[in-house]
Amino acid sequence: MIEFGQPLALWTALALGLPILAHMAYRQITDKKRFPTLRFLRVSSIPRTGRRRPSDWVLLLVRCALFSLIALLLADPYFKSASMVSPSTEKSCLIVLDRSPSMSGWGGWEEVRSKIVEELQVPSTQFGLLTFGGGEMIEYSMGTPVEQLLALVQSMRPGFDAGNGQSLFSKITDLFATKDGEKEVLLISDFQESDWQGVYSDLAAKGIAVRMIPVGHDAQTPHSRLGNRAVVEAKVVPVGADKLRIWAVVRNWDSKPVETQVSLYAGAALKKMETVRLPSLGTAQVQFVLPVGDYAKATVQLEESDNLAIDNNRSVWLTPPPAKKFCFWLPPDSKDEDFQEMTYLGTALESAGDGGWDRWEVDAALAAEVRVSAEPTKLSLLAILGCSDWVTEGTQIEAVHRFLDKGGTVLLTPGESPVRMNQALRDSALLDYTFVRFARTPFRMAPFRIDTLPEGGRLNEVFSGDSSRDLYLSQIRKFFVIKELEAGLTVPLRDREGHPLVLCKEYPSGGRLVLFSFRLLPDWTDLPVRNSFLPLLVELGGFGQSLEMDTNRVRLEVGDVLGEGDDLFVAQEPGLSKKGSQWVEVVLPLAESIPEVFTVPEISEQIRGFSETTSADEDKASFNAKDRDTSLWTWIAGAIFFFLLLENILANPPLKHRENDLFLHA
Amino acid sequence: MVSTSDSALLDPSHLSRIKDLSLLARVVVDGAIFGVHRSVRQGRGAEFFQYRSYEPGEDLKSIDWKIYAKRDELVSKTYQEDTNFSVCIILDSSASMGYQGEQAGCSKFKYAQMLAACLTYLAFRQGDKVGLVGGSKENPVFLPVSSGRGHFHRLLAAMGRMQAGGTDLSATAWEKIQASIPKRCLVVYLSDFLENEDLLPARLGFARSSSYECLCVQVLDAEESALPQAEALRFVEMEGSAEISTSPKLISEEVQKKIADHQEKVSRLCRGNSVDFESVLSSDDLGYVLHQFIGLRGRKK
Repeated sequence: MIEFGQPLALWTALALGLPILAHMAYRQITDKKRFPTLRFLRVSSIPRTGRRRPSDWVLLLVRCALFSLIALLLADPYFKSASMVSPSTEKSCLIVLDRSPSMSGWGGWEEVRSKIVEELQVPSTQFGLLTFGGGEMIEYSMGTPVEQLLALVQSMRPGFDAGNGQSLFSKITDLFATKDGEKEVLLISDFQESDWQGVYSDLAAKGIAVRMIPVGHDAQTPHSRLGNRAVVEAKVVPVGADKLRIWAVVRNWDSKPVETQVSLYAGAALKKMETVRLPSLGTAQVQFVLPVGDYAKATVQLEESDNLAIDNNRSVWLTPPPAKKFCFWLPPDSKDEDFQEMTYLGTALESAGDGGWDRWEVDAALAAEVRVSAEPTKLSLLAILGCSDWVTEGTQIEAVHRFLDKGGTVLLTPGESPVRMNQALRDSALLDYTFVRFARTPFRMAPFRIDTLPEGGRLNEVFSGDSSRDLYLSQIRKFFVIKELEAGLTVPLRDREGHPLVLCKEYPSGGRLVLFSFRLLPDWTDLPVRNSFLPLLVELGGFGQSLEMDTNRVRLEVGDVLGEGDDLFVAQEPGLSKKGSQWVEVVLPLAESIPEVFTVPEISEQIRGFSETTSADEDKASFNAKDRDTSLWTWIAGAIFFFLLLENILANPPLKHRENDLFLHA
Repeated sequence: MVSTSDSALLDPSHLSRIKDLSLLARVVVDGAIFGVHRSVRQGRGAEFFQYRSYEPGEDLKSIDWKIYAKRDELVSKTYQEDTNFSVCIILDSSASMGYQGEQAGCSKFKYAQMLAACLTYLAFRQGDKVGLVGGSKENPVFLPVSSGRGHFHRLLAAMGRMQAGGTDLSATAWEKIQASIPKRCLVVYLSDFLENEDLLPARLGFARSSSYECLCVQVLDAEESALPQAEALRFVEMEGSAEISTSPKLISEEVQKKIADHQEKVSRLCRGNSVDFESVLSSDDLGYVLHQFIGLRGRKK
């Protein structure tokens, strides 16, 4: 039986009209007419004479045949021979069923049921079943009773997990391992591109024939499917202190713009509804505002039904994330200046957030906890003020190391003895630098100034214009002159003589150690009271990035896992969950909403493969070679060449007429 | 078609089948214009020709008194007149002369060839000296003016060998022609005169002298003005490679007018040089042209 790889190309057969029109348009000309002189002649228009019947039937037929063959060639025809049934053995048929979420759309699952019922009626065949997608792979060995399979198919539903199509093929080989005779895989799927892209197998080389039944396809649009809208994104952001904005993105997968209604449900009731116009193959945003604290979660829902309902809603948590914590370590014999510095720094850090969704809170209890706890802590920032050799007492320095390795940020300001601090930090392998001297301005009116920020640095991007002027006007009245030694240290700030004012050390875990070479006190510097201090602190501490991170709020796709061991969380279906202190949002993979699908010839190329037959399989290959598709390309190309030659001969005027007389040319 | 005889034998399509130009010339001349021309000029001369009855009014010196004495009959003695009148035939054999239309019985060159043979025979019969100049630029033919049967046959053989092809005679050839034409000569120029008409005054300037007479006979094919019947044709020039695609139906009237204007121009140029101009079609009766020739000879005597 002849099938076509590109059946749409058969439309090019409409070009048959061209030679017919050309023959109808009939024009009489001649090759050459020798004439004594051309001086009395002039060029004139050549009249055309339309005809009711085409001229030169033979040539017309040859040309029509030529165009037809070209159309056939473009359609990539191949001969698909019927499978030979071995008279001595029973046929084995493994039904491979796609249970990915997209199968629930476009009437695909209803088609699945009817097709399987139809296939199971074939006599003298042993059936097995293998599913993929929608959670775990379900397999029923060859020879499973038909009634059991029928009942199973009737009760089965598509899942929420896309699954891995490639993992099918090793399982298929195993299921056929003990079987002889004709082997066939009946693959039933919607062949959605996202699921089948990159899947490759050469089952033919293993003696297994493949038959594919596409479901949920539209004959009018073989590569895509119409009528799907989806909520592809939903986020919650604070609006001031007492309101929340639920922001959603709705996508239209059709090539025509549509208008649809988007609703917000909270507390099991409809709260808001918006009408949005979705552009063709594009997205539109919709926003809802709710008061903070009234509801824990909400669902954005498309009101109008479409061909794939599973992606028409998305749920979000409405609870704000917990505040970020910071704490201080002060010297054992703390003085007023230590508390004063703590106040300056604490006030600045509490201002780093917006006081609402992103908040920074000081937590004194965590200061003690971080010293002793080996577990990950909720602490985000540890500020060690008046740092000296007291830091090395007990297990404090191990705690600092542990905290940094967990991704925390540590701020250090120097204590009374820079030498002891230098020794303590070097010995504890926190920072390797050399204290040079204590620099102090002789006159109050001639302070040290911050040098121009280096080009290309993060600080240089943040400070520009008036804000940089404010930073450069900062006065440093005294600081410790130090010299960085350790490789990998960065110096974000220097004075105008090039001495480091701040040293910064990055950890692979994301942790960060920041050392100021001066104290954040008025008699050391006026920096803490300047507008530029807060952004400087945020950038030096790396809070600019961490502020955007909300480790308590996790989004997973169906099939993803969170945690490990007993704490493992597997995302099984779309919705909201809570794992410990984490608010988990499970969403459907966006790829499942995509309507593009492979046609059978396209997927056949991937699954059939092109690998050579091994010698061990030689006998099977000789049997299955009859099942393989035989391309007719060479034959048709040969026929085209023949007709082209014939057309060339027929189109040229006969030699005896060429000398003197008229010819008819279409 | 211009015709002087009701004999179908003089149709060019029939005559063109006669390969022997000598025979052809005899058929035409003896058949078509029998009794019209004087075969041999009679008059004063040294060589006795024949006796004939005395006609009253004739010069008494012509009476042969001895015969009168013997037979009592007045008989006049006639003498063959000595003549040095010559005929020079210029036969154009350029490629354009090879054209033969759908309706024509022969090509223009064949027609001109037959005409030249007839004129040669006629001149030979009248005892005139005849010469032949012709061919094309590539293959010129020069047979000086002479008389005698042998020369007559050489002339016809040379004519028979000529084929239409090549281009018009070169200026050097024309200079040679002008230098070789003897005094008291009738020049007959057979061509289609489709090109180089502006060179005619220079080429035929000798005819202004009273020593020469000249007759230009233009041989055309009827299709040259009427054009072949077709919706569209691609014309290729026979003496070149120029091509024109056109519709004959659309331009035939215009072409006829242009050719008529061209003929008028050639005729005017000929008259300006004391040259007679006649235009014939290759389908015309050969006798017509011979009558023109004889008429011209009669006028010049």
